[in-house]
Amino acid sequence: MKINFKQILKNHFLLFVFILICLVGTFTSEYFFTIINIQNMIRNMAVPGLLALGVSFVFLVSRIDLSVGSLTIFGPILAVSSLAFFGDMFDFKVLVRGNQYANSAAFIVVISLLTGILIGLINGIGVMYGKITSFIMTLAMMKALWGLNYVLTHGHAYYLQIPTYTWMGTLNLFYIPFSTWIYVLMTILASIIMRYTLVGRRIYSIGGDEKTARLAGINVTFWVIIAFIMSGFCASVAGILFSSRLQTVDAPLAVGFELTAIAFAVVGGVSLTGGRGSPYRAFLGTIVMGALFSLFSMWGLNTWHRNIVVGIIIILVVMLDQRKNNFGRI
Amino acid sequence: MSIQKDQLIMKGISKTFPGVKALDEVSFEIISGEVHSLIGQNGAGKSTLMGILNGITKPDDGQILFNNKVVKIDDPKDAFNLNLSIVHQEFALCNNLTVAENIYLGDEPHNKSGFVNYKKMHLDAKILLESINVNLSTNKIVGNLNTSQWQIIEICKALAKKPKFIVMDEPTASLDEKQIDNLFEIINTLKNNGIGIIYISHKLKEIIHISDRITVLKDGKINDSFLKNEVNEEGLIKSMIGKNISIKNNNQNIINFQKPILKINNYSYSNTFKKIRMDLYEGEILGLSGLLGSGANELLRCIFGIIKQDNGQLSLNDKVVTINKPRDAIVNGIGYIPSDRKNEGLIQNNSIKDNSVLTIFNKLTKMGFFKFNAAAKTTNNYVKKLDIKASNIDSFVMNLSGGNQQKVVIAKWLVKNCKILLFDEPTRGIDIAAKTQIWKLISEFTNEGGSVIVVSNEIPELIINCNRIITMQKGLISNTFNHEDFNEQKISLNISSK
Ligand SMILES: Nc1ncnc2c1ncn2[C@@H]1O[C@H](COP(=O)(O)OP(=O)(O)OP(=O)(O)O)[C@@H](O)[C@H]1O
Ligand SMILES: [Mg+2]
Repeated sequence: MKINFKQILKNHFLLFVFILICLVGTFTSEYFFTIINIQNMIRNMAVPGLLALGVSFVFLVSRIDLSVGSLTIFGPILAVSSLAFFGDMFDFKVLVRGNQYANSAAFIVVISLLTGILIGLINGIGVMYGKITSFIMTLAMMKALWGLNYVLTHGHAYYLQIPTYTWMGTLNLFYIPFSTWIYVLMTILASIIMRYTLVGRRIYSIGGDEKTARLAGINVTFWVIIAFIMSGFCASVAGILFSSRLQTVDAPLAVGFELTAIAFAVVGGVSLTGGRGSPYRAFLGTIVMGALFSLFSMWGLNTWHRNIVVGIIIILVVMLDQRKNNFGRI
Repeated sequence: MSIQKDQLIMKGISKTFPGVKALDEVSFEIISGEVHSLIGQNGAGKSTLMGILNGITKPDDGQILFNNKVVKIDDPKDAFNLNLSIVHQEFALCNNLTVAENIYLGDEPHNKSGFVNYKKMHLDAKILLESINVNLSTNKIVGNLNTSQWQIIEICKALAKKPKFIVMDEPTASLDEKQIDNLFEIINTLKNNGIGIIYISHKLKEIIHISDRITVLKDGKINDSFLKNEVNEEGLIKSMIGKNISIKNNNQNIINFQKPILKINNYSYSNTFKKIRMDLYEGEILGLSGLLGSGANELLRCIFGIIKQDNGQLSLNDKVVTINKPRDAIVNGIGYIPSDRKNEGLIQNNSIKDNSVLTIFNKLTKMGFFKFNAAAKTTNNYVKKLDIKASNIDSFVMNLSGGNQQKVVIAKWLVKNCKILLFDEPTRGIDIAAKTQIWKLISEFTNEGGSVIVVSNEIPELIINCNRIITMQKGLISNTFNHEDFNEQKISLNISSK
């Protein structure tokens, strides 16, 4: 069989970009290619990567989810503050030394995941039954959760220094951070679901042409809600990993993450207009942008310069994307 | 062997849309193993009636009986459960998916845990396509295919459901002769297997050929019902329209074949067409005809700058002109009426008025302000001229019947005052009365000095109206016929490959 290099380059273009960035990093900074830096780099990809994975599901059904940023820490905040509240009421110890959480880690995990699913469900119901455009619905949700984050924490941080929880943020398995394992496993799982199961077929068809999907007897309402739930679920997993790494939950954290996530997904080639893209694409966008961020911090570029470069990259990528996506028609 | 016959009856169906009574107490019946045709002018209510049968549209009144039991069809899924399927007039396909994925959309072969069996899906799709003699890779992305391939996929989609009753809403509108023959073979096989077919078309020859029963819908009411052999074409036209229509040539231009207004030389585009030479003269209607894959449609798209030729040059009045994009063509006085009206011809959620004046927006503004009255006047003029059936000019184009949408596309370019118009299947899905009107408009345009290229497979129509006909085969010009030599058989022969 003849190997078509042009085709491979076209399909996995971003993979080569990633390798290029790593090479540039290796030659311009002696610290780039060290275990510590690589570990940090791939650990830092996990949270925005999971968010990008989540919003990709929503993009694929031609909708948008802006609530994932504030949802990220809403889960752990809700878990800690509600437990503190009930602790006061029923007189068991949840917080020590003011703001230090000292209770079950499993509880935070379970409540966070349930919260993510619930918020996704509410978003989905608002969009499909309430007929609110997803932009408005999730913008409102973003603002509301942000507000709730402040209300629940009374504006100051909770510290989560319980080893049963924080190991997730620090542990390495075979040199690879636990967070990265979770992220990669979820990406693989999502890829399988989207590529090989009916769930994927439903979601792609809705993004392709919603009316057609409806005419084919597909329950569009149900599947759009599922997409929002998947997004919410990914955000809550990201939130658990994020807070276990920082060992803190605080309202101002994770602000703006939704836009980073959207940018990562778009750079990977997930189309905002629906039906095109995949978990693998979101993954590619994440590793390229993650490597770039790492490179920039190696170079000591400050945030503002970094933002300018990121902005330019996003515009370039979307431009290239438009070119290849018009099916050769007008 | 006796097969138990199923019977599907629609009784007293009424449906009113804002401003139009689309159906008024219509009853319709279909039995297994028969072809029952439904005909009527554009906007008569055919698609609406079939939409109700398939759970897409909710009727205001009336009921549906399956073997004398009342059934509720509120959703496409209900129709599917009753083994009804439909070939939609406006294609219902997902551009981002492959051929096989579209054919089995919503009904993909899968195992118990929800994993799609792609191997079976592609194999089944391939067998299905082969069974109707179509050679099309099941891996192709549907968005990259052309109108007639979409039509075939749409038909396969309905067949894949293994229906007991199948509605075909203008299945042949974008098919060529060879494919139509194939389709008729399929219909006969389906019939013999005891499947009931509701067939909708504006091509009356087909209707007479294929039907066991014919029902005529006029302005939302049943006007007539005929059995096979009870009626001829004239009878059907009379019942549909209420009067006789004379089909005659309105194009009496004497063409001066000296100086071509448009000349293309050596046009080639990948494997689609090669080294095409063609001239178009002032006042001429040039017919261009070829089967799927002949390159005729692509040639037209290329002249208009939608696709870019690999080589060759184009000159207008002996001046070489470069056309890289549609805008270049428009600036040079060339207009294009696409065959894919749904995506390329119209902005679906804009009004008739906005669509009609889209090409002359800048002419209808004064100091940056839009002249609403002038726009309305222009639009009303064409609505009347083309007999566009709509409650008013502000209704959304997507709510029009298929044929009426096509008329809006044509209006859009007629208002523009182009010198050359390129028509891609202009009479697709249009009733006889409107067809004659459209040809009349085309002739009027050429009588005033315009020139026209029409790509069409309606050879009788071309013969009546064109000055010359060029036939294409596999990307090459196979023959050129001058008006004196027009002969339906010869032209057909030059289109289909030997
Ligand atoms: N969703 C809708 N909203 C408003 N009016 C509609 C809608 N759908 C159809 N109509 C109107 O109902 C009438 C019947 O339309 P229908 O599509 O059934 O006609 P048709 O017989 O299929 O015509 P054609 O041959 O052009 O396809 C038309 O006047 C059309 O404008
Ligand atoms: Mg119709």
